[in-house]
Amino acid sequence: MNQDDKKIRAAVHRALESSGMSRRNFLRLSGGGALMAGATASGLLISRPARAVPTSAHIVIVGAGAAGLDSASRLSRELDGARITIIDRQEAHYYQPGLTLVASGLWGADKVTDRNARYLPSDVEWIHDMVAEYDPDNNRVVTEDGRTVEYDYLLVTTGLQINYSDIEGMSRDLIGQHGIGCVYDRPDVALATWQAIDRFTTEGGVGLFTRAPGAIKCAGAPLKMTMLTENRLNERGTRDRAEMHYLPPAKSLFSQPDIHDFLTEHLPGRGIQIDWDHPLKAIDPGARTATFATPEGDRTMEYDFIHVVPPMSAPDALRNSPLAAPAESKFAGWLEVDQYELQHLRYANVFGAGDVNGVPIGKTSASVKAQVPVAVENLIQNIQEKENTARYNGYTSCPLITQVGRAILLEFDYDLKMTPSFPIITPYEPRWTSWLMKDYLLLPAYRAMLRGRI
Amino acid sequence: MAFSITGILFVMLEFFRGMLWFLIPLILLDLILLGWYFKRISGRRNKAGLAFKTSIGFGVFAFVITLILLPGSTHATWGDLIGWIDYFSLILVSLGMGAAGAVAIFPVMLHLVGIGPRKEAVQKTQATRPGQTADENAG
Repeated sequence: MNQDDKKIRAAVHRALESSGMSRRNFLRLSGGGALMAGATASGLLISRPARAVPTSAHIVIVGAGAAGLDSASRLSRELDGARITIIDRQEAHYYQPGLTLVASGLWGADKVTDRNARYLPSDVEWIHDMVAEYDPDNNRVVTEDGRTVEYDYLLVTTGLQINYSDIEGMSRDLIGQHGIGCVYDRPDVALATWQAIDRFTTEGGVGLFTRAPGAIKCAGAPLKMTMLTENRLNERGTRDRAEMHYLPPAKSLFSQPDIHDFLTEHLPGRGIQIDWDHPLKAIDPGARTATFATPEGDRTMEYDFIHVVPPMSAPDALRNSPLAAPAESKFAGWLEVDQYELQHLRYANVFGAGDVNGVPIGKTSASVKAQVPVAVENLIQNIQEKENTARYNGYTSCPLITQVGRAILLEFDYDLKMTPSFPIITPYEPRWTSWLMKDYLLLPAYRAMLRGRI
Repeated sequence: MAFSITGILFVMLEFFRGMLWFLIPLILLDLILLGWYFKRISGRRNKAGLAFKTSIGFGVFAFVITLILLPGSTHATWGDLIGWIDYFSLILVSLGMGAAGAVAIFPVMLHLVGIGPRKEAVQKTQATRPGQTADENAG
């Protein structure tokens, strides 16, 4: 036995002796420890809270997107005896924060494609249909197939709808053809966008990057697509053959003022011209021209590639229902909830989470992550006839990709104050660390959210 | 946004979920090898120190490989690492990979280099070594 062996063996022996344990007992306990570790790990997978709230209430969740699945997981775990129903026809689940990476040729479409069934708890009833009508006065919804579903509590998590038809001449079918791209849709559409960007960054020409007016999901995505495309042009040595324009609908690039200031310098610094007050009005795919409704009148521009960001709204069924905020509200057409408690302002048994909520903050999966625990906790408080205790502070986040390999991890709240989870990572400069998190960690975090775990 | 320990554990669980088909058999194999080692070592010279050193060497190798390959695996270049936090992250992840590699290989190394000859055989060899006196053997 050499000296190191002796030292290790003596140290183990001393430790065991001092704890009054023989080696055999140590091994036995080690085995027990392994079993305990296994039990803990399985506990992480299937744990229930120590005190689930007993109830016979029927809770209907409309929409099986990120907010719907997260809500279903939490309600299933935190309630005992409740009947939980989720309504959504869609079987596939798309990791939408990854679509910018698909549309820039970095990820394959399969990486962002999943199935809702993988995340839905087994005790949640799934109606494969879409809600066509909300009838909150009678506590019921009617599906497109004509089925009436009554509820005690309603949780609206429908997400939003993309209104391509609000742009004259535009439709989803055009994406990938005639130099048209759009990152807001299914993974196959993002892939078609990459094909259009691939051609543009090979051949060069005029690139137009638009942004719709009003609330849209992930307002950072149009900026990411602009900067990633410029990055690709540089990588391919075709930057000098391309002219790039970013066309916001008003005089703001980003709601958070520090980032607005950063981008106002950063984009022109990369040779990207900012054309303020340029909401996209119409597109002529055959002629490859786009018309913008500027304050000075319509302006038509030729393009070789255009990234179209269509206007977005709450789904029609909700927009035309009594649950929508009235026309005079600044959130007209969106679900009318209290921005802190996420409870409907007129129907106390209705709550909302995710993109559909009419709240003054970005529509991102980070917002969903912060909103769902609040909506679920307040709903459970209502079941117990208690006051709302949870409050949403407007937290949202956006890993703003500035180029392949670098991003700014932005986190802020209703006050537009930066609220970094990791203060050592500056939210004011692009960093590889933020990119690393986007590339490796945000998808697992998203999946943990779908299971109602973070 | 506040993070809880359990929240981080769940994110890590989701990170490794796709690799569980590989990781669970690997961990089980390591545990079996570890148990088997304690059985095999009875009555033999224990050279766990050598196995430990070899595993550390393997861990250092895994650390260096991760250090070199990680930026590229994220489609980034070394030029994208522009602040101390980026190098800190790179070293931290590489250390994690190095430690995981060392831990995973340790039970294997115990079997490959951690078991010496039988103690009686050693004693017999020492006893019959030419030129030794009875007094030396007694020591």
